[in-house]
Amino acid sequence: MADRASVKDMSKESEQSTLSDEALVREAQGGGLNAFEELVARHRDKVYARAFTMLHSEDEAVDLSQEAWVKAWQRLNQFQGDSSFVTWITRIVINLCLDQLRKQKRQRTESIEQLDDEAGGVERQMPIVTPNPTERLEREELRQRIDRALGQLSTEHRTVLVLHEFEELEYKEIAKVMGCSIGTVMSRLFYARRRMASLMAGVKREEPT
Amino acid sequence: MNIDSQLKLQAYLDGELKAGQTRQVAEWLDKDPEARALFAELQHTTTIMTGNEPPVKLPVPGEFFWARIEREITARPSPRPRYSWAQWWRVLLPLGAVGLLVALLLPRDAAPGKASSVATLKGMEVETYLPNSQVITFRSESEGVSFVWVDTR
Amino acid sequence: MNWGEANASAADFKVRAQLIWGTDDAKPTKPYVKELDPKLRSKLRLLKWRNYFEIKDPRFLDNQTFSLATGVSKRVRISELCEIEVKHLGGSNIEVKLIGEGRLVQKVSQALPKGEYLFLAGNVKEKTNEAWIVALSAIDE
Repeated sequence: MADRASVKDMSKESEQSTLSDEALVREAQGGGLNAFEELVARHRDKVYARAFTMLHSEDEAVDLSQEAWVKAWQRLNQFQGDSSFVTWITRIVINLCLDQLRKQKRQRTESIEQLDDEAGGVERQMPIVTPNPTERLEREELRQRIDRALGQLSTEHRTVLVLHEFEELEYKEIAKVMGCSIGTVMSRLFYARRRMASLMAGVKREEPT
Repeated sequence: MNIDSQLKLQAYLDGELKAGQTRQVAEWLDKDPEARALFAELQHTTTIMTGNEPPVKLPVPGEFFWARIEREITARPSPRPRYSWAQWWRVLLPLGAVGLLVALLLPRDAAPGKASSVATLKGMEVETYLPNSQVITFRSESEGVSFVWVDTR
Repeated sequence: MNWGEANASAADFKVRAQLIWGTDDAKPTKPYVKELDPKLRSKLRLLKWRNYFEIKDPRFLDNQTFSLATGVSKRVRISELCEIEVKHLGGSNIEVKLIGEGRLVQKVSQALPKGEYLFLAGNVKEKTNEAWIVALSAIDE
């Protein structure tokens, strides 16, 4: 409940802020809570962002990203440095988000969205959206459009798109993380892209310049 | 164009085809305008998304965010020691300077979700719902203040 | 969130809730951490911390004061993680529920005459010397 910014030992804080992630991880693996706190401070936005992009719910994303950090602390000794620390913690939060999405999916009745997901839905019949090469969006506006469009995708489509385009995972890695076949990944990614193209085009029509 | 062909086109875009298949798809693209249009659409979506992840920042102050993580990871499964009267120093100044102080120590643990209901100081009633916590109440009539201190250490 | 049904009237009991941080450290530079009013500060001199600051998060400032008719309760958020629900039991008596992260933590019933304070407080963490304090007082209309 209280602000903790000034309760840290300032010299310790300053020293830790100059350390690499790897050095902080080593210190945290030895029980150094301050080192772990520094890791959280460095990467909390990135971890939260991944959760939010997948879940599109602030509350759930805050909860799950906190849970991811707790799990990371508990499993810190399993981190061998095969990937970067931020990649490792991001994988943890992705797995938690997928668990959450599976729970939600189990809870809801079979919906049109699910049927669409399996069959490809309307995207299968969609006319090809011709990219407009003359359209040059400011980056901020483009990001907002992407955010809005992602929010309109089904969770399965959004997840596969996030993992492929933002996390840059290969098909087989996505299949492993999502617990499905490579064929399902390819299919979902295809329809997600088509839907995204359609939604991005739709946004353009709604906002005449 | 059937779905298998469409997915092959996408795999070509993503660099997921084997060398022989890559050549086949490249030749197909050269000949088929419909395939080229679909490829352009898929490529466009990928291009605009790459490097343009919407900026999302944690909506709560970092200190609050960390406080909950820390609470979780420093939680101790082992039974906690009981408090003694001498442990008031954790909270209070030496009492001599503050006049009349009435206090009661409540060394009870509440089960999760259930209250450890306790009548305490005159006119005050406290129920605590936190498991593994200790509650101390104290009051200074001269100061006109009442305290309910919950300690989760 | 139950904001109570009754409109404020002269007979209502008006309550102020403030979130305070006790620490031995110096004041941080965070804009929402303010020096504590000296009068309130003096009420905390029983406690052992060297400094006390009021957390005035602009998102929750509107929740600091509210009026209650007898028998009516109000639940207000005073920080990101903490809410209180205050019920006017009649006279100067109130019941306060402290709710942390959506869970009921504590329920306290107590007389709160004007000029007096009820402090609900606790430790922030195990290793450092800090405290959070919710100060409740009855104020004039």
